[in-house]
Amino acid sequence: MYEHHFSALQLSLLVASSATILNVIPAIISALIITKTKLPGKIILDIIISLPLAIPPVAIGFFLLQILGNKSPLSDFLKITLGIDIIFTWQAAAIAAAITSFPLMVRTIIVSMNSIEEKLESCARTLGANKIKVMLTITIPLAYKGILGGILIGFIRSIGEFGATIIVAGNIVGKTQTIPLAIYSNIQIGQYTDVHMLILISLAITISSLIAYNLLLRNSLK
Amino acid sequence: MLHLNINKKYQQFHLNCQVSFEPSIIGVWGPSGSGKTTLLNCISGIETPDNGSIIIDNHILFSSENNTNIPPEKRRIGYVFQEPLLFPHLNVIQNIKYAQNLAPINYEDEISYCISKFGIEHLLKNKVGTLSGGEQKRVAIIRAIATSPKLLLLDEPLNGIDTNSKNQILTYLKSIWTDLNIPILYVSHNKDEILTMTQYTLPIIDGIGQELVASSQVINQSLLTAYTKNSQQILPVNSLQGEIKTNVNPDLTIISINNLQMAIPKLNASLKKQIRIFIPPNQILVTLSQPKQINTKNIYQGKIIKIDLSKNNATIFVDIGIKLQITVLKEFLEESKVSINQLLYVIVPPSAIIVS
Repeated sequence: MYEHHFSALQLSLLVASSATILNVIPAIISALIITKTKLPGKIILDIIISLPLAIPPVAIGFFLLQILGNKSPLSDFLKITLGIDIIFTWQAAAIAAAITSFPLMVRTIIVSMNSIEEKLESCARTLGANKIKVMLTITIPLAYKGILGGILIGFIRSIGEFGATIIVAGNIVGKTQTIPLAIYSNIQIGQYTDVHMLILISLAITISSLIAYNLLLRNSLK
Repeated sequence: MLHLNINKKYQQFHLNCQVSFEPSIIGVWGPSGSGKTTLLNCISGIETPDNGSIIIDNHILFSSENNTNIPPEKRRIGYVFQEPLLFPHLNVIQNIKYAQNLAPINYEDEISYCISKFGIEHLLKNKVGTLSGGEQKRVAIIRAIATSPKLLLLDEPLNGIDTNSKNQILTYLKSIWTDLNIPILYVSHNKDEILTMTQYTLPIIDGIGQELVASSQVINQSLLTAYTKNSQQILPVNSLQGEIKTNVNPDLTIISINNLQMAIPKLNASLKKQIRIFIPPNQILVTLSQPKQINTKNIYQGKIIKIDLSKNNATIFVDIGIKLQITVLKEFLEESKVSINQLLYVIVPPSAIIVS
């Protein structure tokens, strides 16, 4: 493996892990709101969460560019207060990956939360637990597998993220070039050996995440 | 004192329960689908009645008038559901501690007493999935007691439990009242269980529950069961005891109830045998003029002793030698202008009579 492959791998792992960590808590909370509350506006939340599935990633990148790009109010604000310029950095790539993978993570968690027998939660109420306590002590522990599955799917989706990333983070070797972007560049210049190598690396990441997921599940069943 | 005034409507079903009683071990009996579980859900707070009130020892748990609805976790009502509903990610003792740690009063001694009485000491560290149905039920009962409840609701606690464990669990359940002083509402569709466990029972039939009866009477009311499915309004009335008089007619048997002769559907039973019959109030016909050339038996003359207009359908009580409760249309009462003490004719079609 050459140095530029390694940097792409490193960046991909950094971007995908950051995106996943960023998403976990909001995804669990969104799933809880959608499955376990009677909030009147929750259908709107459901639709907003699912939007990134319906919009082409390139378009998401475009919207993000408008929000985070130079001279946008948010970018000015970040520059003045924190002194950071987020566009064309790995952080921008992480935000793009987080947005595109969020609906997949939430959907997976929703399925697992819906499959919990509602009576178990009612029973916990009669045993003295309020709604929040029921979510923390019954719903989340019982949805453990689904939450883990959601994290895995979100991570794998982030590893493969291309369209939004190339718009907001660019394709800068060693700085924002993740594996999919590196594959794209190498196809364009006809470096097929590199392409094959990079595809193998990305397969290796996916397969090892799946193995880790299954090991965690097995341990949780013991 | 427990006061219940619960109205809860679903599309096809209406629960209406108005009753007050001093809790001890009280049975709640009714056929499947009669509203027993809905009643318990309303008392525990899992479901909210459309209107009414639930008051236990002067403590208002629910009142539509005062806009009060105490959440289930603050009601101190222990609830053992039909299924044990143990938390699968916790072991036996963790399941019990879950309730104990949240309870306003620590029932340490009561829990230890139950654990040893119910014989589950050796199971405390076990995963709940490894327990038998009977063991799971016992853990669920102890877990509900750990909430330090003012009232314990048991919904068909012996469902799916083998006969040997059944008798054992019944003994344990009685000790919850006798030894720990926790009153119980014991829901079952099984008359024998109700008789073994309770002295008084609230019968709920087609969603209507109104008065406690001696549990032994539940047996008589059970013959309503066959009839309840399609009827609008069923009350435990017109349950009569008679003796077989003649049995010569190929289609009918004649019985005698307090010297009143009545034809009932053919019964293969010996003469003088005592039987119990039930006449659904809405199957009895009344007419002011003497019916002539009519194709039925059981035509009696009687006197109206009471008229009740409080329900959707009007009810009249007629004395024909025995007292019968009869559901009539309100229009009939208006048009015929009947009044107390008026004589009329009552027709009891033999096919409408249910024999226990």
